[in-house]
Amino acid sequence: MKVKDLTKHFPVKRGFRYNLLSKEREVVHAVDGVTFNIKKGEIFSLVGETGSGKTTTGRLIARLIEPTRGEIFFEGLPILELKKQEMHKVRRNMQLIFQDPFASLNPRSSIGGIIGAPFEIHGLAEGVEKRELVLNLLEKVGLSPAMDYIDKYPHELSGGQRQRVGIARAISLNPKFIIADEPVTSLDISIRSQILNLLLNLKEELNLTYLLITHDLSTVRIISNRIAIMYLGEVVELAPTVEIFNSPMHPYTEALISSVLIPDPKEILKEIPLKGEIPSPINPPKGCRFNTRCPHLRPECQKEKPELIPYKDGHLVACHLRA
Amino acid sequence: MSEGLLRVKGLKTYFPTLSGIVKAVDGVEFTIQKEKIVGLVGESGSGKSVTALSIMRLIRPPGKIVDGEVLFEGSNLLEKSEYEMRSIRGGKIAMCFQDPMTYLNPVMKVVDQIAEPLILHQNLTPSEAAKEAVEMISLVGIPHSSERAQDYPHQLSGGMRQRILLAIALSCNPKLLIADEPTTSLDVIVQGQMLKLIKELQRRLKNSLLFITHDMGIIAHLCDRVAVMYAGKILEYADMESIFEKPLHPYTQALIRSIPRIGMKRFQVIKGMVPNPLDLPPGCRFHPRCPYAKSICREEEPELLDIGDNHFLSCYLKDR
Repeated sequence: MKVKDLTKHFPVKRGFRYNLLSKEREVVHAVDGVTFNIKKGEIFSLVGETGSGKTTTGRLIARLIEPTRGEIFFEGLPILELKKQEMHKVRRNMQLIFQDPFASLNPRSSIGGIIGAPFEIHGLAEGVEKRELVLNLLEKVGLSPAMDYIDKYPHELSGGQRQRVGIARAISLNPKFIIADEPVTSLDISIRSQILNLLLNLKEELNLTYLLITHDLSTVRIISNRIAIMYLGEVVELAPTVEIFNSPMHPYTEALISSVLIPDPKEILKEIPLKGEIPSPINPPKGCRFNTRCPHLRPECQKEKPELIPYKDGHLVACHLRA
Repeated sequence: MSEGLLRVKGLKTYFPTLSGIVKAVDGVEFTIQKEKIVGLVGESGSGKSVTALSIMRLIRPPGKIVDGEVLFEGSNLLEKSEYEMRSIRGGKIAMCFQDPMTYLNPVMKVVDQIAEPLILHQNLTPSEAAKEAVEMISLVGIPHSSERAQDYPHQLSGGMRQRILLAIALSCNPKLLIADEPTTSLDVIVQGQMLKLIKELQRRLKNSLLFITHDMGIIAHLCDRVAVMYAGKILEYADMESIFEKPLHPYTQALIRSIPRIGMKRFQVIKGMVPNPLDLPPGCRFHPRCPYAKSICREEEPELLDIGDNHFLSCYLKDR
């Protein structure tokens, strides 16, 4: 999976009168020039605060929304140029797991219907054969005995069980690549570890590649191979997990890491050098987008935008301090 | 248990539903000493928020506090009239909630929202209260306080709204502040700033704090004592260090183990799920998920007992 200069601007909706009188069209810079590639078999994480554009990036890659600009290659195939039918085929290999298992499962469809739908859509199996496949999938995600679950409806299941159903649906067509958008955020602590372990086991079993979208650094640290830190629609740092935690190069990454609350009373709460909050993506700051909150501000930071360039092998950072 | 600022004894709050009675809080006991921060930790549905609302007597019918005592400075809040309660809420005991957009009035300037309790509880004139309110806004770390005071909630960011909520709660300098997940809806960096502020203000104002959360990280950095709640009961109540270093209840142990640590290949799990509140297991409520459960655990419910050093535990395993 390769992403190049991916950009999505959402127009800001205003009243009719405003549109008539004003020439300027305001846009939300949700994702702005994001470039990265994901290697086969790795867990690649996109980390950022609310409004950093991480979810939009995920949705763009799955082509649930069309980008303003940019290119996406999946196994060398430029998927943005594909026609609807061709894209339909590619989707078999590219699946999504959503954050909210309450909203992402059809409440009027049984579990069997939800997990079986992909087989019908792609014309792969029907009737008894399909039911057999669904039962297998349920067992695989730990909903056993599967017979007890297949005819239930989403409201009869707990949050953790629903997320398992969401995962079963995602892996039903033997995909190669899975985009998991905050897959455990809405779950309780004791259920979270169960689901994360399931995702790890499935990855090994089915040779999957994950794009994990999350704001939870403590989870990411354990499971991902590489991390991209996003801020206001841009990737500010991209490096292997160990590098990000041991030698963060961007001041924002540094602040993020120091604000992780380590559940150990011996760890002292670190000083967070950042003031204020993430600015509006409608008028992002000029130059480096982080300049309004950066503790190491230099004059060039307000004028020139830093490029995401290699600091050393495999460690990219967008910051004038490191240039 | 010495008489602290607040002592909760055998508190039971039940909610009748069409399919049976939900025992949301079922015999909760704990004491909050003066100038201490107590963390109440548990998963969703364990009864943390209902405990807080019961202390404030804010349970909506058909929910009802069916038994127990809530002793605040020695007098039982459950016996007070609604009129007396009104003078306590927001005055001596204040509460700060999770979602600032739901609890702030969207059509009222923030300065007026902070001034309101001051006028009601401390008999200040509106102009005195407004002046005090602006001071509260700068106290909670919002710059340009006199300008921000004239804003409406929608003009402020999430972090600032949460700060305003805290300013309202602290405006009358309450002896006890109950904070129900006040940082959960915030981003990590803002959450860190907020926790620092809460701790700093607690040290300065010398009030007690009951902090409700599900995040063990917050507990470790903020609290003096920790109560672990599960299915409507407190299973363990001890000093923060003991909870982290030598947890005694199997559930607490599992919670501590499930914290992600560096070098882990897989996550530690607690088997099973939180029980259905309509169909609680007999005996100890944790026994279906407990790796050490014995026959007595399935039959009789253990009591929350002091096992020395102010460490309270509700588990049979310690007896032998």
